[in-house]
Amino acid sequence: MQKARRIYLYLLSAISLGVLLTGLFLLLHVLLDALGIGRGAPIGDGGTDRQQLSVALALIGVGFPVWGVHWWLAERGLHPDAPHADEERGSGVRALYLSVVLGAALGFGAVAAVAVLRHLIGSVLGSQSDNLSYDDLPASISLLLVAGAAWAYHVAIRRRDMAGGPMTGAAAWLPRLYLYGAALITLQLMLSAFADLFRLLGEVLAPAADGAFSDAGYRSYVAADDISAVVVLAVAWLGHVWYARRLVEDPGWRGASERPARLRLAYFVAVILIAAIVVLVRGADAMRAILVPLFGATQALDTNPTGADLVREVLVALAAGLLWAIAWRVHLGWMRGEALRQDAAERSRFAEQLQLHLVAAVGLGFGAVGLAWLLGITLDVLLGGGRTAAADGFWHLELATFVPFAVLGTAMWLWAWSRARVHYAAEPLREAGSVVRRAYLLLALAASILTGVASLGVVLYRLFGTILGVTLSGDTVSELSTPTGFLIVALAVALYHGVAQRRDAALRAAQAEEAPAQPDASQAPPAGSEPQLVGRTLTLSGPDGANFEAAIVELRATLPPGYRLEEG
Amino acid sequence: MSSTRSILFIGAGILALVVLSVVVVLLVRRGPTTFPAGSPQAAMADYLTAWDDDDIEAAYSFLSDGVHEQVSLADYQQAVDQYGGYNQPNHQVTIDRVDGSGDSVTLRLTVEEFYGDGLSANVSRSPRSVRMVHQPDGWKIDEQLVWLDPGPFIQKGA
Repeated sequence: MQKARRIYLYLLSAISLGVLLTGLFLLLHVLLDALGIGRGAPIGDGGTDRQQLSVALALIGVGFPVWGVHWWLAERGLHPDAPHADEERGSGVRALYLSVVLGAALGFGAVAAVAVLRHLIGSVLGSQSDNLSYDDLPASISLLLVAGAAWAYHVAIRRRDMAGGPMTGAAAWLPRLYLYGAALITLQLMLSAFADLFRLLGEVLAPAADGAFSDAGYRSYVAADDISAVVVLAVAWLGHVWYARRLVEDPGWRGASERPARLRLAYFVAVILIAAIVVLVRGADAMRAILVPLFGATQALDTNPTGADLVREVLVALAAGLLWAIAWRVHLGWMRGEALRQDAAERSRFAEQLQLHLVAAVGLGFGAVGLAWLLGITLDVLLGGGRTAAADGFWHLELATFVPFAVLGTAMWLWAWSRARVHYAAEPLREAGSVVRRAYLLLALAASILTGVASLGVVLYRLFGTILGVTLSGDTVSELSTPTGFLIVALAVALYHGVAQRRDAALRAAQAEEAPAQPDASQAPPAGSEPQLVGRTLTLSGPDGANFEAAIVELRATLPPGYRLEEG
Repeated sequence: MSSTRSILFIGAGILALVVLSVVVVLLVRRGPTTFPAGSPQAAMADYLTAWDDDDIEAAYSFLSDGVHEQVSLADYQQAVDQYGGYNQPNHQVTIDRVDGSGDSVTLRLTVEEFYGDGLSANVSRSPRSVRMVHQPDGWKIDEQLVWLDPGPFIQKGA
């Protein structure tokens, strides 16, 4: 019953808050328009201000009373005298409401802030592009003010809720999802804006013959857009990362809850995964720019790049990749540092395994696709396929595209995998029992088997079709060369990872057999298994309506190393 | 601060903003701009006034000689009859800036249009660029426009 009431209150609060904020946005817009802020000189008196004002007043007239009453009822449940105040404060529905409002307000606010800043920077740069006319400055200012106020108010509410004591479950992880989700998205968008800025800089320093930035007005508009995006997103990212760091360093329950949080680890892992992909793709872009003229693929692209074009393409791609490489390094350092501070062995080992196998998987994926494609081209050349004999020279472009993937992907895989193998060589039993290694091996095995099955299907279809006299389009060798290349590489990948998987399974089985024969408690626990623990059962009591979850979190935070508090 | 008081503060703030906006829109808002006589902006304002007054002949007179060579008054009137209906009260045109100098300039305009009804009502804003040339009889629009939209004219002699 209490939950249904809570869902009703927060749902109505969210909907009516949306109506209220829309009304406030329109009201501010009309006010700025009427004051002539960001608006040109009006011709005639046929203004739309009064119509807009009517709509704004109607929305506020509907939205504020409904939101006010429902939000007041929701807030009343948190009053210290309320019977279920702690339960209300720590409810998942309330956390969902706050997280959704914070996420939406941040999104709208960031978009508006970029537009306002773009207008200001564009004015300074003297941009004369038609595109600047599309910026509705009063609308952007109004949206920024309304979204900013809503965000700040709900941040204050969340901070007050957290000051009330420990939070667990959805009340803890939903706002955390917002925090790290916002940090991840803003980081990604910021680095994309940086890449666009590098592209613009490259075009300014070494203009392309048919470049999109030959119009000075458009150029300054794009510069203003990229710079404003970088500034706004950097502020948003740094703000969220800084707040998350403060939570981690908190000596109280907030720190105890934040430090081991899986979402925080997932944030680091996601950044490393995206960084590995982008670094590889950008590196491949740079390499491709060099290989296209080297392999004579300019004809297929119908371009004739000059030396300046080449240098620009390479430097722009490398600069964009370098930024992600820095992000990778920084987040890896944070992840390792925090893991070491929390637990000298287990967590840092887990973090290291995770990042190495993640990078290995990215390298393997790109490297295998690149190698398979190159193998297909090689088979085509050796067997006299039509694809590599065609006059259009398109296969030269394929070479220029897939050689970088093969080289860089394989290099990335070798780098990460060789480091993972060093760990494996040092402690094979522990590594063989690691969930991360098992997941990596199974993933590689599954992907290669699926690829192999699909490739074999294409090969068999062609074979049976030929036997049964079906009229098949295309050159047989060229139609079969690429699937055959994928089939061979998939088999090799499956074989290698399958052998490793079997070896690990054998090690685990041997370990399981040895375990009962070595009951000596003084020995170190076997790799990958939980250490032997002894325990006592206690009973936790509290007053009526006590928040046991919160109390348990607080108790856990005070335990000495090696001790655990488990619920029976 | 208690939740009741904070909600009351928010309500008071919203009320103050509402009062301020109503006062500004009803009393302080800027009226139509007076442009210097003989300027391209003034010519554009007169052209739109002619449209507001349904005076198509006067509106036609604000088009350049080059446009008159391509489109006769009869063709213009026919296009207006076919595609007209522009002088609605829910339009607002603002001049954002003037690009160029000498005898040829481009006016950058924004057209606001209020559409819909009730709570679904909205305002659309779209930019327009209008080329103008200076002739002995003043600034003229050097594009085949019906109101501020490109006209659906067939070229003479085509």
